[in-house]
Amino acid sequence: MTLPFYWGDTTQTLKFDFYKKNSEKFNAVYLGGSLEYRHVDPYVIDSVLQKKGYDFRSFNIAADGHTIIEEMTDLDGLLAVHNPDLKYIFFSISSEPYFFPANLHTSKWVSWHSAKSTIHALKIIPTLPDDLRTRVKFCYFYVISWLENLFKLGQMPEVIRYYSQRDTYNKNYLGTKENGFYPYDDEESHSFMEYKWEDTLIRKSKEEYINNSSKRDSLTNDIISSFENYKDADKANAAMVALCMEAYKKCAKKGIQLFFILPPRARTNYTLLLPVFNTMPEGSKIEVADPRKYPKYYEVDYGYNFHHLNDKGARLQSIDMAKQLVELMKVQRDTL
Amino acid sequence: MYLIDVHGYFLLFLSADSNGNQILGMLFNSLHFLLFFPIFCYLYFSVPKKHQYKVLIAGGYYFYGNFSPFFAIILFIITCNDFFSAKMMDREDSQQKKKKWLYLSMLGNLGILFAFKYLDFVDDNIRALLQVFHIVWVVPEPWFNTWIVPVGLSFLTFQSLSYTIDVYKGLTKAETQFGYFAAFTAFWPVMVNGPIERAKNLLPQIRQTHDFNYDNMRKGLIRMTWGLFKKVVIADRLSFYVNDMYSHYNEVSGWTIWMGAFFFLLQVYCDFSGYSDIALGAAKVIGIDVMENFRRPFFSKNLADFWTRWHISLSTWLTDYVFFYLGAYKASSIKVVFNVIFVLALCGLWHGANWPMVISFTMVGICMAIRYLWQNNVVKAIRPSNIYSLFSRYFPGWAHSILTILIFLFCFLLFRVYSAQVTINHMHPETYTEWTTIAGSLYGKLFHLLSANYFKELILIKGIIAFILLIIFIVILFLTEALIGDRKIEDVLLGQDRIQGWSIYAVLLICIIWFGIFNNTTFVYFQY
Repeated sequence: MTLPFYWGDTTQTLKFDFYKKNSEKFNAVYLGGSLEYRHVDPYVIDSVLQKKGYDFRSFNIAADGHTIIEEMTDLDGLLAVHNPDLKYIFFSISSEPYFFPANLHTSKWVSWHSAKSTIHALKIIPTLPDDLRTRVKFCYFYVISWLENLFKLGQMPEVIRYYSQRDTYNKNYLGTKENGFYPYDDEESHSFMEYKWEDTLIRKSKEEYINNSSKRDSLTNDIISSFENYKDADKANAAMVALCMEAYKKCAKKGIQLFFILPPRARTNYTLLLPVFNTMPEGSKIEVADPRKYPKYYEVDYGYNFHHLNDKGARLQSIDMAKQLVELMKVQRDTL
Repeated sequence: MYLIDVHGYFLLFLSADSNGNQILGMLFNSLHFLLFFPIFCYLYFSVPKKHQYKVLIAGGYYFYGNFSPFFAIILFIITCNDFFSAKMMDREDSQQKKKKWLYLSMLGNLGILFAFKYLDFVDDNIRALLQVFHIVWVVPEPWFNTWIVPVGLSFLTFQSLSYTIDVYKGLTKAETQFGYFAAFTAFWPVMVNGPIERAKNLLPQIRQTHDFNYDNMRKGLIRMTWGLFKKVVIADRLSFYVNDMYSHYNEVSGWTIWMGAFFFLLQVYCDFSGYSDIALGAAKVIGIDVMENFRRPFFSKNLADFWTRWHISLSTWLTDYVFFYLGAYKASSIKVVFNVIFVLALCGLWHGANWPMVISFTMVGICMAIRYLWQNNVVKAIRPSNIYSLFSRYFPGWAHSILTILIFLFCFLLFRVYSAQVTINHMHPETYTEWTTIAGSLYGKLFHLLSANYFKELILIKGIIAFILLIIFIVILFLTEALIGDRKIEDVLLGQDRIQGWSIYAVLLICIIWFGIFNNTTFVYFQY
């Protein structure tokens, strides 16, 4: 009766269980947090690539709230699923290991943390450019979350729920095309939310985004200046680079190509993300974040809230990702 | 002061600063306390015996200062005021002269309590009253409405005040050593959530020295575990349903409201008695006996009985210092009726500076007064006639208990309305909701007994399994209380054979670890 790493998250349970049962249908998987879950539409990407003659069948396994640490756990879980067809995995570089402290102690958050993920977090957090108090606090949060998961502190009702009700979880979260993509536009009108107040929060975030133009502009300007001020000589965070490379090598060992995505509208400062992203191996990078190249991602029409795109924006990002992917795969094919 | 917790939809009762940020101190269910308690005990038993009271003072100020250093200053002021008032009282030879020192003590305690807790309430009411008569209140928005109410201030001031009153009455001798008295007011197990201890019980024990005693430790730890079980396994789990029921006051009806009201009463009981159990247990570990605060209130036979079993330290305080002062039962029937209602209204005001709470307790007082009149007139007249025997036969003890609880539920429904109003207005600032609207909706639909609107949603929100588990734990609680009767749980467990005792203890611990809620939710009674 061992619990999988996603037992506390109903959406992730649904997605992983679906993937396990249907793994032979897919040869590409997207990992990440909400920026991938809500932005990357496998249907759009598959269509573009298939039109170009590539055998590309993808599934979006990303889940809300995942940072780079949980992505690593997802990757391990994904690689453990038998799927000889799996050729491509997409790994998002969109966050450091910080998270909303409000998520602490929730089964969803606690279930994601093992000794391994805690060690990953403890390796990165001390190297981040924040004050000592913040770093110590988050190190503590990771350790306490791991202990809570280890001893299932206060989590037993959720464990019982997982064992007894996992087959009844709402399938809507697989998306209309059962590919794991579920934009916020669908979420706001979804009446079966895990937490009843979430629909209010989502709608409020949208309202604030539409009405608060100064905050919108300020966030976009911050991102523009991060890109403008970036220099090749900027030093990447070594611990984050090491983690990403560990992921890359793990996949390579299994004959899987890992692509790194730099998505738009990340909460984490791009001055931290860009150097890490640029350190990744050539031919494995998909960048869709630069507001100078992709101004539409930062326009109100394409946004859902400050940090997420709407359905229209997600479609646009998926097309841009697909175009870059075609180019990268073409290079690979030509090289071969 | 109230605030909304991180999930944004359920209420916590705790001090908050003017920005609404909650002030978290060392809660009994926190990791901080888990570290503090063994260190405190180690220091307490390892220092030379004559210095033990100093460890108590240091522990108390550390414990209280953890909420805010400012609170520790308030505690020191209260301590100084009452120590010197009592000392001066002791020097006076006539009651008349003593009285002026008693007034000083009362002024200090009640003044601080009034300034922090009631000034804003009074100001709001004056404004509202003047508005009724269309009089413009020229005083600007007061500066004090952003003051932080020190955690457990009502407990602190009442405990300290009882000392000076007892000295005035000659029931206790004034303490000559400031250190002992400071240890009495800073006795951290009871400091922020009671029981409201009396000087004549606690001070002599503080003066004594205490050796480590294995039996005391075992008894104390068992009591603490039982308290923690009630708090984190039952009360905190109940809070989800209670908060949700109140925040959907316009959707619920009939049985859902009754269930919500019952859950709320049970939540307050498990929360508060759980806290008291931890306090009693912690005190027992260091060799100090603190008064019991609850005695199976759900088994009460009538409202007066309920009052002798629920928050005993407060009800005895009010009885000793207010009810008896007013003449108790020795006065005329009308006066007794007034006394009962007045004391209960005062009790409501003690619980919270808002009208729903005052009215809630006043309603209990009215019911108690009706019962007093019924007992004194009707029952007295017919006893021991056949009618009375018939009545007794068809209305047995358990029926009395159920009726008592139902009356209490009816009155207590209002108790939670003010905090529900604060939550709702915080969530939806665009539309202001009056507490009367919430109360009107709840009471209006309370007797729609063919309906259970929102019941299913209420259960589904946290899941059916969580609900079933909750019911199982509630049954365990009632069964345990029925089985142990008026004995103490630690005595019952230690009376079992070793394997049986340890098994029960282990099951309790496992329930706490696996089924407890550890998100630093605060004890409900912290606002008082």
